[in-house]
Amino acid sequence: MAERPEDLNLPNAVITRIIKEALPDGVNISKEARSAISRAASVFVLYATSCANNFAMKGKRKMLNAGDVLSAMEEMEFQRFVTPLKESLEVYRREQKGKKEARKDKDKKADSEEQDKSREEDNDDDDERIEEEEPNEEEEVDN
Amino acid sequence: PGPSRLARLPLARVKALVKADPDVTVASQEAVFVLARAAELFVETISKDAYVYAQQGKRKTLQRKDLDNAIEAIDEFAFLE
Repeated sequence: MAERPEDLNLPNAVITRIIKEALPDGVNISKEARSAISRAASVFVLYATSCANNFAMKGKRKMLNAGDVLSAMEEMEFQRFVTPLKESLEVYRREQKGKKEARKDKDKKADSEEQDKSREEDNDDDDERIEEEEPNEEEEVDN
Repeated sequence: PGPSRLARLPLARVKALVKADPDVTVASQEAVFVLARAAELFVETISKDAYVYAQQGKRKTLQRKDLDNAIEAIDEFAFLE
C-alpha cells in the first residue's frame, strides 16, 4: 500500500516521551499538539533527507551517508544539532563495530579485512571518519 | 541520557520516510540513524520553543496554538509553514 509521505508517522508513544522529557515536570501536552509535533517531525525528516540528498548528488554519490545528513543540518540552520549528532554517531559506530566483531568467524579474522582499509595506526585518535562506510552495513533502499 | 544516547525512534520508520523520497537512490544505515537522532533533537527543540507560549498564557498544558506560534515566530521552523 503506497502511503503519502506526510502520512508516515513516527510512533506516538516515543514522540510523547521525548516531548515530556524535554519539558518540566507537571506539564501536559494536548493530543492535538502531540499530533502536530509528530507530523512536524516527519516533515523534518523528509526535508532533511531531500537536503542531504543534494549533498550526495553534489559529491556524485548515489548513497546518502551520515556526512550528508550533518551537512543538511547546517544548511537547514540546525547547526546546534551537529555536535550532539556527531557524538551519537560515534557511540552508534562503536556499537555496530562491536556487533560486527561478534558475528565474525574466528577463522575469518585471520584474513584481516582491516588491511584493505589501509587505516594507519598512528591515526588512532583521528575520529573524522564521517565518509567511511562499511559496505556490508548498508541496506539497499530501492526506489 | 545526553547527546550520546542512541536513537529511540525506530530506524525502520525513519527509513520508510527516507524511501518516500523518489530522488533518493539508497541511504546508508548510519544516515538513517543520524536522521532518527536529528528528528528526536527536533522534537525536543520545538517542544521547548512552543512551551514558551504556554507559559505566557499561564498554562501547564501545551496546546496546538503554542506550536503554531512557535512555527510562525522562529525562522528555522519556516519549512513547516
